[in-house]
Amino acid sequence: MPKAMILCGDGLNCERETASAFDAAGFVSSITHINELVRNPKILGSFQAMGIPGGFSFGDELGSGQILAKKLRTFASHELRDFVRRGNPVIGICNGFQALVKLGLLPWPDTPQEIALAHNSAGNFINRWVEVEFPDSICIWTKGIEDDARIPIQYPVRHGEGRVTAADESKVLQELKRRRQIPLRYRQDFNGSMDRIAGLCDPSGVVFGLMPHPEAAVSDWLHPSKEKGSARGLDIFKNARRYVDER
Amino acid sequence: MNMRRIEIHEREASASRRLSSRWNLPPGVTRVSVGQVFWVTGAAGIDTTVLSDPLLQTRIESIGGSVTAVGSPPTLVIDVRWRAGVTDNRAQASAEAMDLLSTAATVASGDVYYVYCDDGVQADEDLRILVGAWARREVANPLVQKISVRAWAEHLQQEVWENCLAPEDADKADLQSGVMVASFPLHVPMEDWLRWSQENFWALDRSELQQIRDYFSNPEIRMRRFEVGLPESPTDVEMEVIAQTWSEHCKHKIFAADIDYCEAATDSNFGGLKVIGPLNINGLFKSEIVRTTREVEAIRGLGWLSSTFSDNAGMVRFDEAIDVSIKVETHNSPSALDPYGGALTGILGVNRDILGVGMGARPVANTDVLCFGLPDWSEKQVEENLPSGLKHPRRIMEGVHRGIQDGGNKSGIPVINGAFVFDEGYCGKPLVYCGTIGVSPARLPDGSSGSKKRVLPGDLVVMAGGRVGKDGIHGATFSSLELNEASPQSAVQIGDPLTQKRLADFILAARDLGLYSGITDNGAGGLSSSVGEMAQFTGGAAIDASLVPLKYLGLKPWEIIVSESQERMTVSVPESRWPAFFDLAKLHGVEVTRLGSFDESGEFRIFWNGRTVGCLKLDFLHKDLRPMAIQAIWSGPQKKPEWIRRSDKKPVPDTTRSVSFREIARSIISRPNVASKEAWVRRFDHEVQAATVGKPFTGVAADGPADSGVIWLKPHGAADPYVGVAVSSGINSKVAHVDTYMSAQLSLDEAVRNLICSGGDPDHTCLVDNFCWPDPLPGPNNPDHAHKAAQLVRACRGLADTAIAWGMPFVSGKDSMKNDFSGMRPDGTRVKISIPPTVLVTAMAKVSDVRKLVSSDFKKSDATIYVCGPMASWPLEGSELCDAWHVPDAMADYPRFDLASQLELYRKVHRAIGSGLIQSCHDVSDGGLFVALAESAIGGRKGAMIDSPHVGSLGDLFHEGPGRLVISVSPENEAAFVELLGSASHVRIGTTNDAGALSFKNVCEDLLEFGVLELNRWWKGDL
Repeated sequence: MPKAMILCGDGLNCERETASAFDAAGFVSSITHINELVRNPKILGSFQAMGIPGGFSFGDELGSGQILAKKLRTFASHELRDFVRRGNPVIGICNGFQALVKLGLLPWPDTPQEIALAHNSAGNFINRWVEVEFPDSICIWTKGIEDDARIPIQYPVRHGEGRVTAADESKVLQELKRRRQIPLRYRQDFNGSMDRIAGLCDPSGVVFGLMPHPEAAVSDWLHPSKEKGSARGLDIFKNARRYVDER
Repeated sequence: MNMRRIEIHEREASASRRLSSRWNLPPGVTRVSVGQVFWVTGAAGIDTTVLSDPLLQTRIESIGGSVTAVGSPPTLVIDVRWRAGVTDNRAQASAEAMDLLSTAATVASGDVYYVYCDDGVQADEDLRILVGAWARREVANPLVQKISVRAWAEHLQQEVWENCLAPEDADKADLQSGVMVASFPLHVPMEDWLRWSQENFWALDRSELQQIRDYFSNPEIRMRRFEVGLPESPTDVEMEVIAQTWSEHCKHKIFAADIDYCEAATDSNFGGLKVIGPLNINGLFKSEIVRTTREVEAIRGLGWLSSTFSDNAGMVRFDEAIDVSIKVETHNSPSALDPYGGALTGILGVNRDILGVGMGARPVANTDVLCFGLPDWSEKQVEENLPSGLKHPRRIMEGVHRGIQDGGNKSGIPVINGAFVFDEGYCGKPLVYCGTIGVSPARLPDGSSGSKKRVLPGDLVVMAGGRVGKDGIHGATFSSLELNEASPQSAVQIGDPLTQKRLADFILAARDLGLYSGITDNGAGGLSSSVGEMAQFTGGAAIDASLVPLKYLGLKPWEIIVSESQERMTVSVPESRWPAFFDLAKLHGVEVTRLGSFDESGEFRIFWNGRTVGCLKLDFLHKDLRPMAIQAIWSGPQKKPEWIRRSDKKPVPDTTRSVSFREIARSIISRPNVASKEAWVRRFDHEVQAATVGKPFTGVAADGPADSGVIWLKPHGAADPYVGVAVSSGINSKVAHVDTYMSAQLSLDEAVRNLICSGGDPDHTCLVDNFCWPDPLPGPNNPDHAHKAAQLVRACRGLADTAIAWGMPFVSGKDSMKNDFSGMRPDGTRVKISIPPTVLVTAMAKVSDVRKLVSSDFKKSDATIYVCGPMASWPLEGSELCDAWHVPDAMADYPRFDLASQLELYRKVHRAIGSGLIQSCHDVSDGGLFVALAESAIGGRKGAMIDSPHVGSLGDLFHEGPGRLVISVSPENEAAFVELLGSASHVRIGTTNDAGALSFKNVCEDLLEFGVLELNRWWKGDL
């Protein structure tokens, strides 16, 4: 079975549920401390997928994901880029999304930072379930996920800094749309994010960053409606597994 | 090595605007914008770009002495930075980020405020004073932060490049004095010792000091001291160790005291209240709380109590594979001084209790119950009434809320349950109850027990986690004293969630690898308590204080030993496991240090660079303290004490017409104790770890209140795929002035009832008690101490009687005994503010199948609504109604609360939930039946017609008597439900509908009607 590296440490805190979701989708996940990767970035070579989970890396000091991104860039930049170039799927959830943006892996590698995840428009951390939609995109993680008309797909959001913004919003948005890099949107405006963007992918579609937590929407009884079939978070991880199989 | 000043400002003005809108700006000031400021010293090539995000922020970097201007110049600039020695998380993280490639940097951080004024306002001394006062009130706390206010011109010319990392002047003098260990002569008058006790915040009384002097005068002890090279008189290290160990906070002397209890003779029988005296009590803790558990255990033959009262938390086994642990702490005094830091360290502290229970447990959920003064004080009321040294209740609430938010969110622990309680009695000290639920494997990977420590002689004493500083010195003893204007700032700390998260990750990994033999947390009393307590496992320990890693130089040995610097655990590590333990710590970025070893000497011995500076017999420290004697006389129900007179209450209007009834209802549902707390609670992460089945809000729009939090245990290692644990709380101080036996019983009932609503099994329920009390000991300023002591006895008995009748054991508990403030009103008169005696009961129950949870919201129309539980009318005294309106004859005889039939009801309702007969279940508490019905209606966005003769009066709708549940049942299940309930008290009161209104037929002459959305609007209000 394919192996997935789930980062942990330095204040990340969703590694266990993220690993469970990967496992349930058919990966063998390995929770790996950031310092293990940083000491020996070559270990990435033995994995077929990677997850950077949510949490508060470095206590969110200096902005969420900022220091984690610098640490990964300083010690494992080459290996991470290589991992992506070789087409291995990478998901960054919440804090992981923030880190991917600051690492420069999203939305466009090897260009100066053009988007940022700013404080929610309400100014504070919010935990609630929100309805999401899956626009047509090149993202391998969201391929073919469709709404059940009966129960709209909901994921929990739990963040203070999740508002996607850009210096030149219309230009960036146009480019993201043209290249079909917006795989996930909120159905209603929730945090002021431009174009209600909830998640982005890279131009190859293998790197996916999102603010909502699909790994916390895997069991129906965790869903607010508790209805059978309501928890649709696993779809995302199963897509990655299918993609790895089909490569 | 130049020092650089770097300011970071948000490009978007919205963040500053949002903050400004909440501030009361001083006259003349038009707006204030806020940024971050860093002072960085390091090699020239150091990369400071990590400090900001170029897209979101602008940075201004100044080197040497002159400051670069930015944007339009403000009138004044305020720098707010942490005082030397106070934890500065942002600076620590920044230094780490800049040090990734080993270019060492030292960093201090703070906030910078640009103050803009009306044209023509001069940046003179008056303005500076005014703005300085504003900053101290609204944005900074001078106890932990340094505030400097400068005119812009002055700021440009001479930014003062202080060395931000050096200790401040007062500390410096102290550090340079050179005396590392002092001793206190034995043969001087007792008055000198009493003075020392006061000067050094030992909080020791005459008899305790005498006992200490007797110990040191004992020839055997003198001989031993001679052998180890100590003087005959105690060293400061020893006195501090004794003071911390014997503090009320650590030793719970009041709960261990011999109490002589009686009820004062009165004409009445106390209006139906329970007579329990006279009593001679040898320790309330043993004779009431522990007795309850042992009796319940014996009567019911409970096999699931894994560990009670002996460890950092209680542990129970609801599933064969795991133990669930629970602990609730209070952090009242620190939160009074610095609300943010107090609450943050409160949360992190109780998390560490869980991390240190048994062989270490994973914190999986937090609960927070917070008591404040009413948050709506106007500026005028503050000016006229708020004693100096006290903060505006709203500021306290905001700070505590932010502390709880950071403490939980940044640690990845969901807040699943809690409450906000408001009463003017909490103005002097807020109550900040922080609870944590933990999970640990019954068996560790090597097959050994997860709940038993196994420290052996020879094991190393290891400190893991944060470094030690002067912060938090005397927390244990300080919290055992009344709060006043002179309370020490050293007791205030800011927590560091990042260091603790790394520590927790490391500990749990080390546990599973079998790298240590025992563990406990460093909380109150620091190393003196943690090592002192763990030493009891082997019968001794010896450590060298000079090995303890410090945040900065210059701490004396006694300071190192008692410092309560946060984020530390004390671990016993077998010598053979040390290399692996050390390596794993390094991988996790956690500092670990060996300080000594555990032994069988019978002593706690402390060295400083190899020389003995303290040597105390463990028995003397832990066992020999003589119990104090307390007199307790209950004077019967009293009027509720008021230290501040709020505007006179209006008489409750005639309620025969619905229009006046609606006015009353609106006033009740929007009161702070009743109103929705959603805006506050959603800022707490309540479902990280992906196991929160019972969330704080429920219903179609996820805004109806839940009765308890429920955690699914499979993700945490349970063997059963669907087993869960429900956690709830009950708190009642509203009728404590009437009787604490009753208020304690109501607290317990509320907690249990909340569990029942959420599917908790009454036969698998355990309890945690937390007492917060005004001082029950004699003192110059405490005339009614004997009554307060009697209230404590009655509260304990109320809990014990109820818990035994319901077969629910206490597994853990805590008390906080000096919740008084004394100070000066603005007009110069003295004022004492005591909290109302407050019992919090936290209850935890097994939920056998988390897929069958029931919630509080009405689900469908045409469901029948029942009220289950005692229907007799209950006096209105203490209710929200009485607090808002003047109600005649609120005080009346209390009906008996029948515990046996109540338990029968709870069991039956539990069965009904398990059989799927119930659609919704909600408890009746603050605001009475009216609020319970309104909340169920709001949650489900359903209307209801209430047409029962049992709901016909103001009292029926607003009394807050115990034991009642509002339950809705579908028509097809009604017969089965009624049959199941049998003789258990229940009445049908109405039917749900889709009409969008909650209507009452028999209350007023006309139809009393409330739109559900209207109720929702009132309820959400603007708290």
